[in-house]
Amino acid sequence: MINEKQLDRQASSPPDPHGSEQPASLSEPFLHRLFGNQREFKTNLSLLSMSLPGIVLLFIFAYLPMLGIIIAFKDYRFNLGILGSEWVGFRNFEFLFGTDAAFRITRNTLLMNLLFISTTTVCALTIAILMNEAYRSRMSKYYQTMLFFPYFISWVIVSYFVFAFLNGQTGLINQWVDALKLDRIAWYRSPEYWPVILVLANLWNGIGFSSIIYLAGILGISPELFEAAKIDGAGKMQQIRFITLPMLYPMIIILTLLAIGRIFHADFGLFFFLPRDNPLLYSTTDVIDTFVYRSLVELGEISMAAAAGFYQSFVGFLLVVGANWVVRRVNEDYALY
Amino acid sequence: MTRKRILAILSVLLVASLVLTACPAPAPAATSADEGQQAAPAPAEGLVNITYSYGSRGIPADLQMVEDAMNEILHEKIGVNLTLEPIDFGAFNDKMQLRLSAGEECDIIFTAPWINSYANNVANGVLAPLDDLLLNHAPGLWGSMPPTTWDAARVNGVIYGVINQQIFPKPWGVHPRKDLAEKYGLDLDSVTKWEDMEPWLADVRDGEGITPVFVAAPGRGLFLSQYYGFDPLDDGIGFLGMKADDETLTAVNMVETVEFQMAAESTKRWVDEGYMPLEPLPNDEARSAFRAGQYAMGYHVEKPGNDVEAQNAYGFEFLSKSLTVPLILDTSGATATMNAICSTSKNPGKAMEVLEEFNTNAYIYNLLSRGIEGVHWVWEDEANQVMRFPDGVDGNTSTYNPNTDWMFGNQFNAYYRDAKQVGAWEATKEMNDTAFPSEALGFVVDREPIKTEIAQTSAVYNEFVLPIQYGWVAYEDGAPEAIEKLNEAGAQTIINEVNRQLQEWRAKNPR
Repeated sequence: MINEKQLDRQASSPPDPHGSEQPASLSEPFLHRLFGNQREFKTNLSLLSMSLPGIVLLFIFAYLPMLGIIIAFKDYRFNLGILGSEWVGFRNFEFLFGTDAAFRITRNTLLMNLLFISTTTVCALTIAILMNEAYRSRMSKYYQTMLFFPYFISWVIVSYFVFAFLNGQTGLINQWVDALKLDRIAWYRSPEYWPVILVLANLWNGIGFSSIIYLAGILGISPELFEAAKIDGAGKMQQIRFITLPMLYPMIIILTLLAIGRIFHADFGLFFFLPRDNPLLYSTTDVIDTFVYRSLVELGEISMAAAAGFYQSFVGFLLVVGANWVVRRVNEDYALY
Repeated sequence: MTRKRILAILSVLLVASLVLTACPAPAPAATSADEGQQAAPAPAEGLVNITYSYGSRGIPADLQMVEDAMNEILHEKIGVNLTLEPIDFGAFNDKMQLRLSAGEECDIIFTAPWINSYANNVANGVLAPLDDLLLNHAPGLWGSMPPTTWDAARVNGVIYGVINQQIFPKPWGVHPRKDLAEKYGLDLDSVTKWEDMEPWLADVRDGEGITPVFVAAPGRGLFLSQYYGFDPLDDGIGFLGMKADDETLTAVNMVETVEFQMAAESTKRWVDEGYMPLEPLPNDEARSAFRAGQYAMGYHVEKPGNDVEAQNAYGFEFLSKSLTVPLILDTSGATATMNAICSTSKNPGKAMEVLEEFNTNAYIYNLLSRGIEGVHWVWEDEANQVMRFPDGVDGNTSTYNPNTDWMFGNQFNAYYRDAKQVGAWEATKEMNDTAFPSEALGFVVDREPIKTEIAQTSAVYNEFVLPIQYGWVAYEDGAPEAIEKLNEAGAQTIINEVNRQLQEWRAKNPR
């Protein structure tokens, strides 16, 4: 999504010599409505055509399936098809709100995702800045790879790592605890530890990816700014505070806004596999996705699952619009749209 | 300036996403197997194509060879070209539901209460009614089971699935290791209930320094409905049950019953005493721990020959005894494994003829479930129908060993894997025939009017009932809250509706 958005903005940038040579063969009044004046379109033709595959994919995978939303309001039966199934209004949404679990799963989803967003942003920024300092060092590729690598490991496998550390019988941590003659900790029976464990696991997994995005942002800052600052006698901390961070703000805000759009979608793998679907840990680890899975795994009700997905997307949409509105109020340039 | 920066970021994102999408692309094993299947020779003139989709532990290397051997007979005998479509168990349920929901054409599929749900498939109208097909195309199969057994597969009076004959009742019991039973003087004959095992378990725990009872994650308790005389009515509604001999057909919330309390208290004691692990290992690790001798006993469906099966799985010699008296024949047990015909099938009659072969033709059945004689197995004792793996091959290295007899058809046609098992099929059939039929045998819950409540109680059940059942929380501490939460989530609505359905069913099916 970010690609299209930003490429469109890019499209109004200075004239492109190759683009202006392209002949305009498409019907002009239509294009005029679509792209403003013809000259602008011509100059940007090459960029627009580069974005075309992305737009087509976006249309196929994000816009076409939207028609499926109606499944959430139907009693979907395979043999009747999507259009032939009976309308049932909001009945499919009832199970989400029928018990007091609704409050808990909403709270857990929101709070855990807020924690994830804030910790990931802060830590990724820190690491990106540190890596930028070491960018010319021979070790920098090694650091980046090491940090990036966990991103490729599935949560199922991570859950076994975590289990090896935390389990009650042979767990590594409890063996250290034994060696220190302290009391063993029953990790898998103590919900209070899990927000921390999940945040750490999420950081470990996602930090490499986020920090590389920020590092790219830092590398894009003109070195002249830093040189000028150095000549004016700014120290490292001052350079970071007055150049690096302000230059990164738009990016931080865009990434955060996008993350907020997904704030109602918990990472199912993380929340399902790491706590091992343990009922004793639900009070802090149960999120909308795991709850929906647990409610419907026996029932196989596609309509109810669709209703849950629609609810998550709808609230996420409201949150993005709301957050963007707030950003726009503060500084219009930073807003997503 | 900003734009330049953003372009830099975008290019990084693009590269990153390319890397990400490129990585998982090659999955050579799976695709090559798929291609192998699709490359099957086109059927000769006049043959009807029938596909069979079923769950499998991986895709056997010699699948094509077995398929060809089966087709050699099927071409000639019923004019069918059969295509086998094994789907890995991990993906089977999702894949089948996806295919069925998309209305993709299929012929024979495996369906059961526990995977590729029979009830859902019937409700979704994707299975063909089989009554006429059975009578006209599979008389042998139809005659192989009494009408009362077929009734278990009926939904609203119509049969949609062919029941695979195997063990129907659930003889829950124990299988202790023989060496430890002897070492610590276990007299299995005098054991009649779970609790009778306790003195021996205490001795093993102290003498061997192990947690004697095998339990895998997430956990498991002693409350097994049939052991306590309940017919669970619907496997998808955990708390629901009915006393199998209740002539008034009254469903109850099992969590409220004294039987559940007894089981929960015994389980809690076993966990507290260290007979059962408090934090069970994941299934694979627990099984290898069993092989390494770190458990002394398992408790499961102790069907005839289970001691041999346990020995094959764990390497020790086992004793085995069912503690379930009387054995109960209920709907979910009788319909535990079925093959059905899709309503999208173009040739349901031919598909039924294939099922007739699976169930009545021992040669075809054993080709499918064991592979080819001389290649995948050899006779140990042909007179008694005992086979074994060829020299130098075992269950893990065999190139065709689905090891899912119960999936393909009548298991009583299977060759024995061990001389000690000889006679087990007769004994199992005996169990099936003499088991006490539940008053509700043949009744299937219609979930449609109560599905919101089922979804709600299902989440509550997992959260509040399972910890009690697994012995993590004492019954008196957890049960009141669990029952209250279940009722808030609509347990009583479910029970009332099921009772109404039971009475309606009884009116149509008098005793």
